[in-house]
Amino acid sequence: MKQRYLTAEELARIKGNFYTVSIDEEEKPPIYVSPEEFIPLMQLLKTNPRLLFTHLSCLTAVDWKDTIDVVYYLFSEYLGAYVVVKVKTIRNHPEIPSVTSVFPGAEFEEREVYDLMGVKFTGHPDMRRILMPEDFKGHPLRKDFKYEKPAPPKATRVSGEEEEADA
Amino acid sequence: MELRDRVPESLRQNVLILKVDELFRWAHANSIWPLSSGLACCAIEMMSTATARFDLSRFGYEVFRPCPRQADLLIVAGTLTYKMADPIVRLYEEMPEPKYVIAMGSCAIAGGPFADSYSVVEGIDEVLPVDVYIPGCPPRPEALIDGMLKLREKIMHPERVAAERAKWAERKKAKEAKA
Amino acid sequence: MKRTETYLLNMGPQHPSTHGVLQVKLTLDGERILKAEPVLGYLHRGIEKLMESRTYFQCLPYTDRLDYISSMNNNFGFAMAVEELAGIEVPRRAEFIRVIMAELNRINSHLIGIGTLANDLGASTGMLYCFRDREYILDIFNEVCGARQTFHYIRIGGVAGDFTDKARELTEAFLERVPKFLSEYDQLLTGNEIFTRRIIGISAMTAKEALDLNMTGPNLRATGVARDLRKLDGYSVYGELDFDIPVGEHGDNWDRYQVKMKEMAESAKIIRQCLDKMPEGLIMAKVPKMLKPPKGEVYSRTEGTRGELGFYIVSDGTTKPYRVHIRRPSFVNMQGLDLMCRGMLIGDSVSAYSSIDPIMGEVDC
Repeated sequence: MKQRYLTAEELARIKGNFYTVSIDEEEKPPIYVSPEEFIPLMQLLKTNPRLLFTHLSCLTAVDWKDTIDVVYYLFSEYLGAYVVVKVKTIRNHPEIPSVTSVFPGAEFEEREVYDLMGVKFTGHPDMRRILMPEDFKGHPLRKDFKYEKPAPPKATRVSGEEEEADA
Repeated sequence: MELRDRVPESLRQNVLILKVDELFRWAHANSIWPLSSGLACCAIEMMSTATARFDLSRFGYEVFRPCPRQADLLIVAGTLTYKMADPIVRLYEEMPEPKYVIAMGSCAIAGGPFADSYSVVEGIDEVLPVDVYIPGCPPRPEALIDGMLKLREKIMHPERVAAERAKWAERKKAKEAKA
Repeated sequence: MKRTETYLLNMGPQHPSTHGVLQVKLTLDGERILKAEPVLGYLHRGIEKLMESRTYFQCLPYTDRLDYISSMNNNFGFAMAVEELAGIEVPRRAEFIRVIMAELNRINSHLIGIGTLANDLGASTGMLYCFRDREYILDIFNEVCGARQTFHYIRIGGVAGDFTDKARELTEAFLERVPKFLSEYDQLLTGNEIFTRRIIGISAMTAKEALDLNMTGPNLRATGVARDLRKLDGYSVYGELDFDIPVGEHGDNWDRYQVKMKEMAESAKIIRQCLDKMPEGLIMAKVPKMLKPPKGEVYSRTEGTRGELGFYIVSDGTTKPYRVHIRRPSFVNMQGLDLMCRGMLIGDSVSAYSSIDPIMGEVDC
């Protein structure tokens, strides 16, 4: 089903207040924003009575080999439309402010992005790995992720072996 | 004169003469207590097997125990990840002897569709000796019942189990030596 | 003054009442829970990474194994996302079959949810009843695609096999059963005082809290917010069908249970309408054997059994997706666990896990 996205016009109106917001002329234009202005922009999108993007639908990150984009899909029931916000981060030190101050429900998804993609969210209440074990090295969803499987754990008391030893 | 022959003719039908070992084995094989440790999709089929339509209790195997101390069969039903491998090994070690392992579904046999993933162990037999493998993704309840019946035969013949476990240990040693 | 100390209790990953391999760290003050921290990842299989090395058609079976008791809904969501990306029109008959299957699977999933809730609270008979009725749904799935659980039936562009006369017969027979077994559960569970006292007023949350935590699905609707993507987006043919969105009031375990019960009746209503309206015709659109969607990205969401199930796919114009992200409702809903358990007794945490109804395959992905 085709969803409605904010039109270029509506986006231009949002852009007014921000210096670093840039809009690509595509079919469904995402908003690119710098990490500094990211939180004020999200605050505006959520609380402005003419926008009311109160539902954070999807939070993820994409590795584009030179940068890592963090992607936010916000949905407004009031407008019946999505807005896509993207933040580009430097691949070696990806770090952006956490959106949990605006959307508290982003906590787990941000932890997941940190775990699998290695993007650090400053100001997050509990920035730890969520899916992989805590001593895991690397971030699996990056395109250059290489990994050798470790040896699985060893059972120390296996019934077959004991019988063999007795014999 | 054999013991059997000293039983009066009229009682032959009612008296069973066998070794105590055999009696225990027979009793054990007909009342396996599995550990209810579902890992993933196969766990749902394991639950279906225990419920009304397939009714595992017809065979005496319905006593699913949540505590490993009371169980003698570990049904590995689902994908085993590295994070979960330690707890599974611990569960296995907590179970009293004699104990058996069933690998249910292709994930538990060899990693299944997730074999090339970074977090999945390629089969439970990398970690534990497996007695019965049940293929399928997930196996149907009938297949699980069949697997349990195969296990029954194995329990009746412990020498087969011992030989297979020795083979498994050898394979594992060879693998470790290679690495 | 007496000094008390808090202590930590570890539930899971092997515990009779945590669903699958969920681990919860409970910080306790006596019997009261101060904090419940879910520890996830025991079933993390790296599906998102695996999908990057598979073609779009090969990705589909992985969605079966996400939320493994509502596979049809997952198939549906992924197929819709790829269709939107590649611009494929699905035949009308296929749309109706898809909706029937998705709704049957919703009933199936809620049956397991209610059955395990009953089982965890000690009413194991409830589980036996739910699993008995679930088998009739599986018979229908078995007839159309030959599988009981991981179906891979809804494909990109349509469905794999036609909805046969036998399947129609089975579905109609099943629809007749629905009100019967629902009233049976009402007698067995809803009116059972032991059961109700374990869930009424336990783990309540307000609508604001649920919305703040991004919760969706029955967990949100139990708090009184009538948000259902089937109505809101009206995707597939849901826009043409007539059904209600059951909502709760207090957002406690009782409401979550009631919402599920009522949703089953609504699903049956949807299936009835689909059976009547289903036209003859093709069940599969023309889809190229080498599917190469144009460059771009798509986020497509459906109402899964546990809430908003979204697929975010980035295509680079090849046969394999560049990046797939799955917005799993169970995973996001797990954030509510802490709030639901806080201030409750240890025994009540068990009913909180069950009523939030997480499927670990989906939580950990």
